[in-house]
Amino acid sequence: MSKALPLVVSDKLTKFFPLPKGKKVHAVDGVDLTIHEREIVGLVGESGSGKTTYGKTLIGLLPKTNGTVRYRGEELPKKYGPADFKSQAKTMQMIFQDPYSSLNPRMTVEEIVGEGLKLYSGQSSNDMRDTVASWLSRVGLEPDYMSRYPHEFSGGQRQRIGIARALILEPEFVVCDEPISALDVSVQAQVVNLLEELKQSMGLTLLFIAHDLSMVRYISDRMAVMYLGALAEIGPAHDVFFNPKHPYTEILIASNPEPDPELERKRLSTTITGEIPSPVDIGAGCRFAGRCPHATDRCRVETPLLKPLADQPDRHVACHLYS
Amino acid sequence: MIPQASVNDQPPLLEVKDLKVEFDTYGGSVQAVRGVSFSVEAGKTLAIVGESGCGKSVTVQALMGLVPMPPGRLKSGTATLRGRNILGTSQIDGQDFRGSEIGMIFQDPMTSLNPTMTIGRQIAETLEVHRGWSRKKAFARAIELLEMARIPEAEQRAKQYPFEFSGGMLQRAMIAMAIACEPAILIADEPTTALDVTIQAQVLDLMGDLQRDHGTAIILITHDLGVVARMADEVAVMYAGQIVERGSVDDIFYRSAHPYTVGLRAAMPINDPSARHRLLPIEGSPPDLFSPPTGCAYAARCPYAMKICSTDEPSSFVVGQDHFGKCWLHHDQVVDGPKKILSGAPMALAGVKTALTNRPSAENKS
Repeated sequence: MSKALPLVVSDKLTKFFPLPKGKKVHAVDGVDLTIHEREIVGLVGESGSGKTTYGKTLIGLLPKTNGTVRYRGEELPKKYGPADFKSQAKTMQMIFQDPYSSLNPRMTVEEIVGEGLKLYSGQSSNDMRDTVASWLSRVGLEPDYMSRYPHEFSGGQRQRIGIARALILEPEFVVCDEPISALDVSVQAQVVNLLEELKQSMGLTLLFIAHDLSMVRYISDRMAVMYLGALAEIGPAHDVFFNPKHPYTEILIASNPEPDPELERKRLSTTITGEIPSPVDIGAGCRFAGRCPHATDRCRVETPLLKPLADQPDRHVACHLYS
Repeated sequence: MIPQASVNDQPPLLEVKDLKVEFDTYGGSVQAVRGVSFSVEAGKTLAIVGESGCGKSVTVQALMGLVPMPPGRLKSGTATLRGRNILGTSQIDGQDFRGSEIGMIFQDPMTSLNPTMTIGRQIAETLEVHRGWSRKKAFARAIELLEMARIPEAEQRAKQYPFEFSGGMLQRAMIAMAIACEPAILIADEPTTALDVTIQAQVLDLMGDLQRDHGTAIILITHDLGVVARMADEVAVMYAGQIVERGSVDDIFYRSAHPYTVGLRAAMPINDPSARHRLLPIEGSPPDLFSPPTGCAYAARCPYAMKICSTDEPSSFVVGQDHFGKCWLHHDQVVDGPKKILSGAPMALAGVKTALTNRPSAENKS
């Protein structure tokens, strides 16, 4: 990992949504994250923590409020125009969470998967049909299904269609927004293995957004934990999962039930009280201070910065306990 | 094949035998539940596990009389609560047992509560209907129940409407409502699927505490094996409308007797720091329940399927005390059948005891 080049770098990336009376939702608030070539970065956090907004802002589906995103060293525009989408579509794509609502029910699979080619490749329609057919078989679907509509497919098959659509232009970087949360366990493994295979064969770089901690640990090289629009911790997925540093990460991982009754019987209750606060009125200090069992006066006034750990420089934690 | 739960002559708290439910559709009739039998004991948790469409929700909805008929149809089966029939009726001795004897909480708290009534009134209504309490008395009790469900500032919260609650609080309010009449059985249909892990832990803890304090039996419907490991005493694994394996939670996780159970385990990541394994998906998809296959419904996806599996439906083989597996591999004439089943997921079933030993446990709640 150390020699890999940075592919996508977000610097103080910020996305606010305006509310009436001058208030705003701090969905993503100054996130610094470097994603290296051929790396899978897993992004976890509770609902409302800003994971999806971060992914969408990163690839330009949402205009940025502040901060920058550099791709291979080149700064991307703050707000994409049609020409920007056209040039970025070939390098960055997104796989969406809900395989039911993210496919247009009035388009055939061929139209859905081939739309990118039609817009950006300039292939003849025969060539396009061949490319779509080869991608369908690559994601494990029969090419004969091309003329069918989304409602004729199961959830797992639809997610495969979504994957084929995202990858047909052979992008380098793909944001996978909860690609498996809507699927059954047995099908989740099919889709995760498919993503891993494609990552290997195409040299993809992935931002894998999910709330299933076990699955993120399994698939990711590095794991980033987001809380209320900011990163709490980032590091090698294995280390973060088995030896979490930030109190929030600890609680998040301790709340994750393990499919092993003996372990579960031994486990102490780790319930955290309270719920994720509103992202509208964010005061000074650590965002987690209100729920943190270790919070001190300093935590309530001074916002901790994401800093490398003294003994593990590849791990970054935003917590005063480690500074 | 029904395990007799207790040695004395007391009938089990809840006993379901050979339940079959069909739905008539334009395309024919869907056999959603195809002969399900189980029993539930007081103070214990039975988890019914399975993937979407396996019939786990329809099973409990049929018990509660929540299957719309038509198009639904009870084809066969019996269900008794302390020996009294509850199937096809909503009453025992002229009293509605639903809400008083059996409480239920649903997956989506946002759509399961009445948006035009305050939370407190909705809980109080249960007590007014079943116990005949006055509005005032019932509302006071509703506040106590909300406190028991660990809703902060219960008195103010009781006067609020569902939209003013978060998802986790709504689910706790629904639990408060379900336990208002101190039911003997609490049915929880995917109670935490819509919640984050931290909130899920709060809700599961609450259910566990209530069970300990009141001796409530819980039927927990879920697809999450982590939740099963945390909550269940007994487990029934459902596939294509049938229970394919039933046993204690340890039987199911450590001595699986059905290839589907093993397949589910192998498809999930194991959090063992010393191991790097690959997920083994179950290829294919569940059968069409318009015309379920003759033979074993899992045969088409099963790595060990034999000739007989596609022609004859396996019976439930007894593989241990109160442990049943509906799989031909347990037949006497199959050499090393049970071993074969377990070999399907060597990683999944090898001990993962080291996994969490170095895991920090965050501050205990009180």
